[in-house]
Amino acid sequence: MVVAATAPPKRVDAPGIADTFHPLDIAIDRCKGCELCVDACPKAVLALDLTIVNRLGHHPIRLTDAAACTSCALCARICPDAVFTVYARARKP
Amino acid sequence: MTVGVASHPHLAAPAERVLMKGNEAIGEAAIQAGCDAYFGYPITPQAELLEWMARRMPELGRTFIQAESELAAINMALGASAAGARVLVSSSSPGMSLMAEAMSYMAGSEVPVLLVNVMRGGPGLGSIGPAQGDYFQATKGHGHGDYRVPVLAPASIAEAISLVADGFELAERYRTPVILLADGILGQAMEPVDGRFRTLPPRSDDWSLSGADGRAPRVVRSLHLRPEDLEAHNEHLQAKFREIADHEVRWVGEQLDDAELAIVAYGTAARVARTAIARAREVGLRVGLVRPVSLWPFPSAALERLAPNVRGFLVVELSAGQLVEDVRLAVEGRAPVFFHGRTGGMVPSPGEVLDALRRAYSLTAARSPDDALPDEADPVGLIEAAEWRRFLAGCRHVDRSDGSET
Amino acid sequence: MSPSGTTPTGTAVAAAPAAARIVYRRPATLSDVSTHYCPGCGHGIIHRLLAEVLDELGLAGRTIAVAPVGCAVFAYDYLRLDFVEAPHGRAPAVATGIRRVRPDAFVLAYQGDGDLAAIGTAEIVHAASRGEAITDIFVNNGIYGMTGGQMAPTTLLGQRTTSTPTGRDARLAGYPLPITEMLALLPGVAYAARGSIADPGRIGKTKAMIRRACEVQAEGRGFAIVEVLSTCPVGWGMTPREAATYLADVVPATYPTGVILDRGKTASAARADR
Repeated sequence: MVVAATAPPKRVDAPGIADTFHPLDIAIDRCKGCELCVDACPKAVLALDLTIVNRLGHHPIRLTDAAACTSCALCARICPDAVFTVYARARKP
Repeated sequence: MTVGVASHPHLAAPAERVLMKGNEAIGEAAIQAGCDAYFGYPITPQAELLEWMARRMPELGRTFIQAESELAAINMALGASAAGARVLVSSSSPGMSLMAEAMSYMAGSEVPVLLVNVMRGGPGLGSIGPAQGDYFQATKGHGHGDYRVPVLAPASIAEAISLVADGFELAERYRTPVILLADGILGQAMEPVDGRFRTLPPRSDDWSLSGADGRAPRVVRSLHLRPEDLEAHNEHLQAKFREIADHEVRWVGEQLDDAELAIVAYGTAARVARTAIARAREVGLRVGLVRPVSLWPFPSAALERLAPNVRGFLVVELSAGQLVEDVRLAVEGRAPVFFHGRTGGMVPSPGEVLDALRRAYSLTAARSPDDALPDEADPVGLIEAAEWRRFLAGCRHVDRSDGSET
Repeated sequence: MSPSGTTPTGTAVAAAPAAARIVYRRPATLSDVSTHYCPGCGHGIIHRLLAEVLDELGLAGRTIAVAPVGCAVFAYDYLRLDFVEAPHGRAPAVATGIRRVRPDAFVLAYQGDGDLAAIGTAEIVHAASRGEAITDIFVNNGIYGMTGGQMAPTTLLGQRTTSTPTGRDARLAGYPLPITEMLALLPGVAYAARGSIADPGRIGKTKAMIRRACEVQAEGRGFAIVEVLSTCPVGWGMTPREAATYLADVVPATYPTGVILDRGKTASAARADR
């Protein structure tokens, strides 16, 4: 049984951030709201977005503070649905 | 992949006759036909087939495994065939029961494998004597679900050799398991064969597994969870079985042109019948033989055509009566169908079959239910007299010469 | 500058801007679809690890994989590999058949606890004993998820399941089966390890085990098995986070993690991995 996403997953914008760098792309149409990433995140910056119900019927995960994210990718490591694409700021020369 | 007959120390040059044991001949036929892999488990009376492959396959750099069970062997075959190999598995009746699960999976996944069943007495552990008690198992599907498999029944070692190559061809052409149904006598006997084995081109297809590099991945499966999908798959399978039924019926008729009564028998039973028929003809009984070679698809049309022209059929089996049901289905009451069988590893003798023929003759001489039936003692239960009474009570008789009814 | 535009997962990111680099994206061998697995199910993590390892080692293109019966029967929808579906428990025998006729293939079997340690016990023991050069991923979540949460051979003593509603009692239902330790006794086994997906640290170690098990096959050393302790939140009656905590805190007392056997290393080095 396969439920394919029919549209590109939406990106999450953390509110009120002047720096436009986004450390995470989240496929919110694939997230099942299991919250394993919430416990895995050492900065506690992941939480369910209770204002959204995705096409699978779950509240998807949301990055609450992009500035605090260190791109450690522990969320991506534990995610059973591989919803995360993780970016880091380029290293300064 | 194939090896010339002359290169093998036990086999003479082509066209020279050699004595071969049935089990070994079947194994060698598979090898010559390009068998890539053999998986089996020792069980009487086919252990010699496994032993032949144990020696020959490694000599040729091909795969041989004596598996931990027949269950494991047939699943190894499933994997090897899914990966593109030409595969042989052999066993005998109790081991075939262990393979029922995988038969269903192979039929549902459309995986070609040739299985040889050298039948022995049953049910259960039974005996190691020859039998034909697995006819239902082989022809009615063996495992669960809606499917059929072609079943080929040789009556001699030479025929077994040729049906091995036919079996691989059928399996690969139609993507299906195929059963070669032999019995302990055929497996153990030694007969002269002409040493010629048919070779086949290597297997090639567009669905087997080799690693998805450079193409879309392939999946060999039988699970289709949505009912609409599984129904569509079953319709596809049924269409395949209809195609096989249209094109792959095999049977042999002997002395049927003037036959008043026809014996229907396959395998070793047919050979006994042949001797009985020769003796019957000597005493003026005109008997012929219908010998199915494909047990599925069953030669129904041949029996339908023959039924109006004979007084009756006598089915002879090394069982309590399994083929006889398909004969009755095909004949559909147009002629009486009698039965003679032995079980437990016992083999009917030509004398028993001749007695059964005489009784069938005298029973079919009666024209109405009021006619007295012969009251000979019938200690072995040769003929179902009740069958004959039912037939007479239920059918009209047509006088063949002028079309009038009696 | 942020990465340009919305980025569908599974596809290459358009020309990475100078300001960002990719730290992680889903592996190419993992299909770009949503799975049927329950929220928090360990299968999703393990499929992903397998895909990462196969991609990193360049093995996916020559892999022939065997799918089990169990929740992971659909593995062939989620991993872009040639797959054959095996009857329940028969995967090691099916994998043996593939292994013997396709010497150049990378052969993978993926099994659950019922598949491997109940109905398929004979098949796994003999494939291991023959030293078949296959890699078997054994997902142990101590329960039969697909059929609704019944006891598995690896269910813990005292654990409640739908067929042990008052908790598993050894007198009636026997003891949890240490099948991987049993297999490690066999000379044909080249690598046997037990990992866990309870948290990112353990997941990292498990990935290393899976990688090693694949390398063992590629090196032609023999049979390799990685048992991965996993969760079944729905079957266990817990949230995914509770299940992960249970997996970390309770299960290892019965099933300790670590490398049980690695014939490619000395015994002391293998113990140091625990």
